[in-house]
Amino acid sequence: MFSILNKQILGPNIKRLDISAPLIAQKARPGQFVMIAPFARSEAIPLSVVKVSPEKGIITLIVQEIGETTQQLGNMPLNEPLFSMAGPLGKSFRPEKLGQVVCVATGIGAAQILPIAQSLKDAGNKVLGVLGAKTRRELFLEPQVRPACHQLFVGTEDGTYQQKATASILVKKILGKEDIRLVYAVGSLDMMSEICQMTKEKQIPMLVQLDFPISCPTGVCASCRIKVGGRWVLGCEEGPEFDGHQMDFDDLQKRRDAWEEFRTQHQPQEAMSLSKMFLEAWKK
Amino acid sequence: MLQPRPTVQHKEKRLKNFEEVSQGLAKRVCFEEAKRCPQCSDPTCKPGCPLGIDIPGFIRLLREGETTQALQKIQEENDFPAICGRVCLAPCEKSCVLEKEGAAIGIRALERFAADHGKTRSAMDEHRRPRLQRVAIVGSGPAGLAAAARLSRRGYAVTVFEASALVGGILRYGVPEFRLPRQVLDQEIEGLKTKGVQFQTNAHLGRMFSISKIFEQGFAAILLAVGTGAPRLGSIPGEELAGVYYGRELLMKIHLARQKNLMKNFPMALGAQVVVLGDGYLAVDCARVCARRQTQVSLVFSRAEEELKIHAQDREDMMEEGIQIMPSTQVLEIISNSAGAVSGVRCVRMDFADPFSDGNWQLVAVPDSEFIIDAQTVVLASAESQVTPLQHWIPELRIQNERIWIDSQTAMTSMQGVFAAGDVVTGAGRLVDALASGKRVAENIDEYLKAK
Repeated sequence: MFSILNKQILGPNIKRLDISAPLIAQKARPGQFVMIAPFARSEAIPLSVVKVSPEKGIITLIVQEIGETTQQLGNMPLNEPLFSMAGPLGKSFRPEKLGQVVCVATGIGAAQILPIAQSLKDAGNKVLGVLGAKTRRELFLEPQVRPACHQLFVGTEDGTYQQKATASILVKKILGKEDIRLVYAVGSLDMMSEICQMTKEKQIPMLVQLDFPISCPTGVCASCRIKVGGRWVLGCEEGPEFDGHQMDFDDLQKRRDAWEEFRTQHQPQEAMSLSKMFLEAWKK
Repeated sequence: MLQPRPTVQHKEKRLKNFEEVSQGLAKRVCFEEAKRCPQCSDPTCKPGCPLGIDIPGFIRLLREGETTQALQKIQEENDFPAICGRVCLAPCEKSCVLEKEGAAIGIRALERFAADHGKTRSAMDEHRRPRLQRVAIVGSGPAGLAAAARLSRRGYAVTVFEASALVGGILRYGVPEFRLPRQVLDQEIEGLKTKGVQFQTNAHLGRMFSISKIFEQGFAAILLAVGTGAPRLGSIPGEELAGVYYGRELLMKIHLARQKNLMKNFPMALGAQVVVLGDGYLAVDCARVCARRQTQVSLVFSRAEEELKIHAQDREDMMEEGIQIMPSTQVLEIISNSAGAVSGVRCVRMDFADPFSDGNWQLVAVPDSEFIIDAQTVVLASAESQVTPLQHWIPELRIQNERIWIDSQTAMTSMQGVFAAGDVVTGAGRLVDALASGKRVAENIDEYLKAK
């Protein structure tokens, strides 16, 4: 049975969970994810595995409490059995000794870049980390990413913390100075497409991790379909890691915006519960 | 006298809930219906059933009032009468002698009556020869469950591996609750557990374990019953638009969200007008789910109206729910609006014609008959599907015509001791065929293990 052994609050609404899962801990590699459902009535959500200790049989996840299921997960008491956890799923990242590499992340993408940077460092590369955020409040996991890199550059768009620059500007500076062999990016599509442009010019290999909705992790429902290099692939089968140079980010962004608009337009109206009505009335 | 209709929820009430529509036959109606069966000396319904149930036999017991014995008669051949009595396509009724008069015996409803009201044999009664051999079944859909029931009856220790969190496969994630209540499914699975079948959930063949790992654990044979893969992507222009769902995606998403009250918390966004493409149960289920969201649903398919591949009773239920059907219509493309979302579907009428005057009549597009149906959501629910991603994980498997190849005699795949059954071999088909295939392959595994 899976249960949460330890919880640590890392920031506003961000928690680190250590979960006992011996079988998953033996197999999980950096870049893979698990599907986790805290209760029988909750939806299973994908979360990337941040750290594995096979000898203890523990996997570490970092969760940002933004939705219903993530809140349920964050509020689970210790040692309470979780309803289900399936994994490890997705393609794993295979680190090689390359030389100098850059790991870029924005927002909560920092949780996904953490195992990648660590494995690259363990493989003997010099890892230059870049974290970007809008403001200081939206900069997550900086103390956790720092030890996984040899050098960490942090930029905020409004200059409230460290350098006043976006992640892509910081990467541009690094690419101008250093001899980089690989760039790995996780985060917003804008940032990834900008960096892909730069690396394409300099012919530097580039890997990106994309996020897509996953319902079943078994390649049956096709809700994770995504267009890569002009052909449809199933994200849960062939992702979440893709070659950045093959991606058509404009197309992806356009499609994502259209879906976003469609969802907001046709989102089912939630029936108002009695307590909610009471709250609304009380506010007035 | 026509086939009696089971008691159903009122058509307006049922659009406001996801509970079971049909409540089954009343006792008196059931006995009358059973008396209507002519008990042919050479029954045509029995060969019509892929499972080979002794249909006249159980109907005779039913009309004598022996419901429990009738159920046991069915259970000799079919291990899941409660499921089959609800969701089977009932090919037996098509081959009934009274079908020509338009009044076939309601065999499906009678089977359901026996399953609901009869008492099953307890696991203790079953005479079992204990055997030491263990069999692994991958996938807990219809084929996997049927094989598990059959093999455990033969005395094997069966373990079923399921990739999702809950057992049932397509029965749980692909059949809506108003057709098959989860309580019924859970009962059938509970019954298997009492017979000694073990279930291992969250176990994905390929990612978490391999075929050789299963053999290492001491299993003597493996049955692959993993079903079909993802729908075929990119077959109609405009599939990438916002508002296009695949049928499997729609049904899986609403069932995987596991909401208590689907009316209140529906997990997907649907426009006011929905077009569903397809002519099987998948399409009809999607249409009926959408109808419960107060949308205007049209079901578009290229075949003739009477070729809709569903049971007459389900069709009647569907029509009552206000679903507009558009037969003989081929979809050419999905039209987008400026924002990249669906705004309609461009279709063309189809009709039978003899284009080369050689007596070969076929469906062709009627010239100048193109028209546009307004829609904000399109559900692509044709049964066509890709080959399962299994060959990524097991490259040794021989694939033929995008399906797993099996020996027609022994049902063994190209790997020694590995068998395959159900949709993974035949492509997406009827539920009862999958059950029959699981049952048949279980017998083959029995033979193989006896000879070993």
